[in-house]
Amino acid sequence: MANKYITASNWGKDFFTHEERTNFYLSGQPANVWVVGDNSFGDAWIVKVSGVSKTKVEAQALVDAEIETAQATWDALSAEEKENSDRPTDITLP
Amino acid sequence: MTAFKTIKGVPVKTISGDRAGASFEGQLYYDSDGVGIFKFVGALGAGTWASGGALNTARNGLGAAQAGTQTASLAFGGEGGSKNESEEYNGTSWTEGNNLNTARASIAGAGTQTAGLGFGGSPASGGTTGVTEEYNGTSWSEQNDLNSARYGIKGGGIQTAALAFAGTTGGSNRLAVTEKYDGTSWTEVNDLNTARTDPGNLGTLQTNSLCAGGNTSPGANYISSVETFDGTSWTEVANTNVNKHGAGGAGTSTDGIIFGGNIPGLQAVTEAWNGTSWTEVADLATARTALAGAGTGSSALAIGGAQPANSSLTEEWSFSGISPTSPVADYTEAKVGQLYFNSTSKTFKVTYAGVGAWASGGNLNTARMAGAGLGIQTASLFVAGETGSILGIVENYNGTSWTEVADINTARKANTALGTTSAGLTAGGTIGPPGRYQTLNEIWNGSGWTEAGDLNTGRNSLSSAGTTTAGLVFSGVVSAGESATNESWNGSAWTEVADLNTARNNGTGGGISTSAILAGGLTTTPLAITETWNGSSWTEVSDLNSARSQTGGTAQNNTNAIVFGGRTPPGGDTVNTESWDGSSWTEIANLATARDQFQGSGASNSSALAFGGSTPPYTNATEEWTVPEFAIKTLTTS
Repeated sequence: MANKYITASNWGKDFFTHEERTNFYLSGQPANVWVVGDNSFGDAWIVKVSGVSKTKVEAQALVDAEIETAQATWDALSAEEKENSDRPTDITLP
Repeated sequence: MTAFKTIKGVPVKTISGDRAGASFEGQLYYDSDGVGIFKFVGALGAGTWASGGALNTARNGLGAAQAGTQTASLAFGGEGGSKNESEEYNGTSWTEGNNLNTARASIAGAGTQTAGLGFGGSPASGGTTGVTEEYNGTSWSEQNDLNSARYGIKGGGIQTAALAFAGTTGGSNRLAVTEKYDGTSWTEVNDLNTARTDPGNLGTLQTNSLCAGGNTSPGANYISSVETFDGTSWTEVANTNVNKHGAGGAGTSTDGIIFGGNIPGLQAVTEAWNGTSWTEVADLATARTALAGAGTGSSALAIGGAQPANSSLTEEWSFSGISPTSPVADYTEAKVGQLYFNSTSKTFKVTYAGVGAWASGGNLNTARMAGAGLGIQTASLFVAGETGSILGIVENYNGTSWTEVADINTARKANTALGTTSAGLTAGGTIGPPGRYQTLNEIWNGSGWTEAGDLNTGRNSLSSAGTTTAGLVFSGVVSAGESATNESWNGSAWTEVADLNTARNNGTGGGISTSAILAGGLTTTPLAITETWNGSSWTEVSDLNSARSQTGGTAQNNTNAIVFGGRTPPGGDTVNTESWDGSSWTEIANLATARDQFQGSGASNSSALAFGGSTPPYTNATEEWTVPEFAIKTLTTS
């Protein structure tokens, strides 16, 4: 399945609807990156949310940077604090 | 233009005027008389009554476990001489069980087949009684009496949180007195607006009860007035179409049916309530009054009654169509699988089973993780959490947007929460280090937080179920590691009850105090283990398909739950969502955004809310899970 990659800020209610979720693949990622199924419904949604198109490499770089920041924050926690959470793991975009 | 018959091969009859009658049911035809539209003949979406097994003892004025089901019900007491017989129904037949200790007629009932409650009535010696008895699935035991002894009383709710209302002490006396039972004793609360005896009643919980009709003075002074109870007070709502006296009922104050009664004259009429209005639906096969009811608005029992002779009849209500609570704009009485012609769009449409999906909801004001959630999709609280520092912030969701409300007294994270946006509770959590294993407990009354009795075992990352008068907390992290400890809350104190089989933290828990579930969680690695609670012990049942911890989720009871997102082994967050039907987990549509350490709330596996968490970093995103009862597709030739 081909995907498109965009950045868009989730404004909340009706950013994506139940009907839209049944019409195309959609996956939210760190750094406001969205992976969108490549069909006419997905294209219409990208227009609706004023999505900024990215290549897969560009989108992956945005996600990586966000994860690296989160990993550095977690690494700086005390041992006790680390017991309540796990170190953020890398994400590979589909 | 291509003729319809060349596409389908079947001509559509042209008829002048409407067709009616069972012999035409299922036919599609074209009405050439004036309006010229396609019509479909059928009892669309209507429920029907079918015969069930007969009671062993015919009677009227009997009580039933109001929160029981069509396949697990309990009937007791009644008139025909004041009776003490108690019978259990299994969906096919009634079996005699152990008798009530106090024989009586015009008794009220609440609870379930394994945790029933009978109260009030008129004993064989005459007059009134306030005697209350609890049924444990085997035998009846006497408890504290009602404050106001009476007969013609009605009730609802569960054994540990029941409601009693209306009735009479005889003569011209009519009562508006309402009492709440907490599993131990009765407390008088706000009265009905209209005093009455022998109304129809709905209510599987204290907070979703309804009182319909009744008799306001001696003689045939039957009324159609209806009131609903929200846990605090009664509110007048729309009247029934037909006066009710001695009617039975099943369901809740937002979705139920009232059937039978005397107006005067024995009635078979059934009226369906959608929380706003009453609609007449299919009649009982046998008109009668002083009957009992149990179940829901779509699956109910009508038990016994007076025809006028004492009746042993049982009728079973099944609604295979779309509930009146879920109207849609262009077809309000649809049944899944039906074809119809929409005269506005001039298209044929078909209804099919709804498919669940996640949609975006309103964003939190403060992005955060590791707090606690409670409530339903359209009325939730997000309690505390962290954004690097530990917070006491509380936000309220109304189905559209989040609004900050009063902070809890002690900021914390990894706490749990239960109840509703008008009566909630948050317990446990961590405030440190130091202070990682909190016993703190705070109660929410809809506007502020008050400290209440501490947990016996301090812990964080725990789970919970139930209400502020009948709650349960279980699992978590204690200083020695994962905990299997389970504590029960009665509204004032915590009591240790049977432990989980597998100690763990960060699972998804939910349900009620007598029927709960815990799925997944964490020891040294995320787990798939699921356990269900029946009110006395935990039993391991089918695993989740995907092991995970720090999930979101909710449960209606131990047969209806949903788990979403979380951390999966060996690491990484998932969008995976699974639904529990009482026997197995099924993967359903994914969240849009993978996350962990987030919150969930909701009423069932058909309606839930996911909010906050770590994606990373902290997110303010909310997603709403909805499974529509049906969907509509327009038919095309493509």
